[in-house]
Amino acid sequence: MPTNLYRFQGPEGTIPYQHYLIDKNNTKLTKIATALMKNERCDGRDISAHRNLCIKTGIVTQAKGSAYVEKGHTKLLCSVFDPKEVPNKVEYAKTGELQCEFKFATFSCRQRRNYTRDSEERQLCNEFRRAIEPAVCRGEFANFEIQVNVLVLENDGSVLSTAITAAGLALMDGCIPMYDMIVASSLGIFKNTILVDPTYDEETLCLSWTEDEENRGTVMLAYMVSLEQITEFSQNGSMDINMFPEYVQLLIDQNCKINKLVQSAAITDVIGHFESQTTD
Amino acid sequence: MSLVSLNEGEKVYIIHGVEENFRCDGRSRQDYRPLELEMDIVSNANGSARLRLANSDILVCVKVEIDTPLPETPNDGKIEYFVDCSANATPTFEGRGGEQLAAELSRFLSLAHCPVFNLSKLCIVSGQSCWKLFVDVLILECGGNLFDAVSLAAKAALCNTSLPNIVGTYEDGKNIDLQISDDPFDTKPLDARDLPVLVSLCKIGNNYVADPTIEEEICGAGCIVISVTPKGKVSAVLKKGAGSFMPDTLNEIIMSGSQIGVLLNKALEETITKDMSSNVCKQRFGFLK
Repeated sequence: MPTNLYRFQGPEGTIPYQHYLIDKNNTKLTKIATALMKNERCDGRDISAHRNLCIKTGIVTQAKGSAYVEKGHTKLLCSVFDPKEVPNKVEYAKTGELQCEFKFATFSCRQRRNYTRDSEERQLCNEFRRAIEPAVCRGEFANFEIQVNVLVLENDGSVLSTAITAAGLALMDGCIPMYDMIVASSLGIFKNTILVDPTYDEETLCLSWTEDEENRGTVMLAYMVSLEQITEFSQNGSMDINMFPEYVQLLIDQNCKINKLVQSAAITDVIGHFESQTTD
Repeated sequence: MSLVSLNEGEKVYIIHGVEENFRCDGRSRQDYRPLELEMDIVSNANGSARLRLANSDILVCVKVEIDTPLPETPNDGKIEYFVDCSANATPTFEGRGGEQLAAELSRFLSLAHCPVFNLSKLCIVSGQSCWKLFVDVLILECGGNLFDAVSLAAKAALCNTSLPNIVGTYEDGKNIDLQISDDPFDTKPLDARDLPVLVSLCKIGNNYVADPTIEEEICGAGCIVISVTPKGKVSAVLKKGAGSFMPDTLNEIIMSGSQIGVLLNKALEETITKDMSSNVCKQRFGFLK
């Protein structure tokens, strides 16, 4: 494990104090589980409703395009930088490359994360890149690469889907040619109950190991709405094969809802841009 | 991933072949290449398996060690996957070349196994000690479809793994001393028959093919990897490649992937059972075949 000696490293082998709390994590999860059995969610949402979305583009002035997205308590920042030549490259590539970085801030999760990239971040980074790759007109940047960075400030579940939605907005804000807007949403399944846009606790509950045969797990789908193309699909848990068409349809419907919000944000942006030009 | 490069003519040949349901090596779209499996071939490991899927050659070894469980899961053991892409497989793996593929393989393997594998079986003393399994995957030769080959070999190696029996424990205040049987045959087999295998389906043209070769992987627009348990449940799905899918195609691919997965699990199960029953006078091949 490479360590950076210039940065302060927390002492090794510490245990977060939350494990010693009287009201332990487990009782919190069982509370959520019993509420879900009555089709109620701990934050008062309907099981088929996503959390409120807050979108703001152009937040990083140094980047070509950027977006800040808040979904409930999940908060993240995505920035896109100008196309630049790929360093140390000999061959000519007909399609441009996307260089992605997916990073959790050290304080973003309940347990402190390290500065170095762990395997979860690598996996999320790969999935993130594959989700936005088909949406970008990569033929326009032959032999060039575009840097797309995601920084998660606060993690409260559905991080990857929120990041993909933010990336779509940041690419649009950076005027990178795209085939279509890209949006993503996720589902949690717990004892055959489908939860739209799960929080961190709900995700933990859905992925916890149980003996029974009921469906559980999480599903994430990234979608280009007007082209009707699925750009990324990932699932984890234990699910019956016959349920997949239902999950896919539900996720597509969710994505259409989010797409409307994203589109209206984009239109306001464009109008704002022209207004600021006319006043100049 | 490899040094194979195809010209337009070759690509068209492969794509047209897939359309006619007759691939370059004579298979139909849903067929697998021949598989060879040998178990228990590394004597220093607690369980091992070597799998050859046409030209893909995978060696998986499982070592067990004693560790303390994580404070949040005091009753669970640990399992760790490590994939090493040997530079012997293809020269592109040299140095740090295979690192990304290796990280992706090991992460996806642990994601696929985690919802199915009951880690509480690895507990020795709750909150004090547990077994830790190190699953080391070595890619010796790369002939396409690494995900499927690695998962089959990993499942076989885990089925072949046996944990040493614990004869006694001594408590000394808070410390616990374990006494482990020193007889190498006094072991308890690890039950890993429920583990999933991965099935990759590569989309070429309007069709999709199972068990793609390297050449087919280059022609394909995208690839879906599905992890299927013996009961036909899906435990993880991953998309590879830069393509995108129509919703109907995706559903169709997942559906047929699970059917193939059940058959593949059954074939592996039969092979493992046959291997275990003929344990006494088993013919060994090792690496010479």
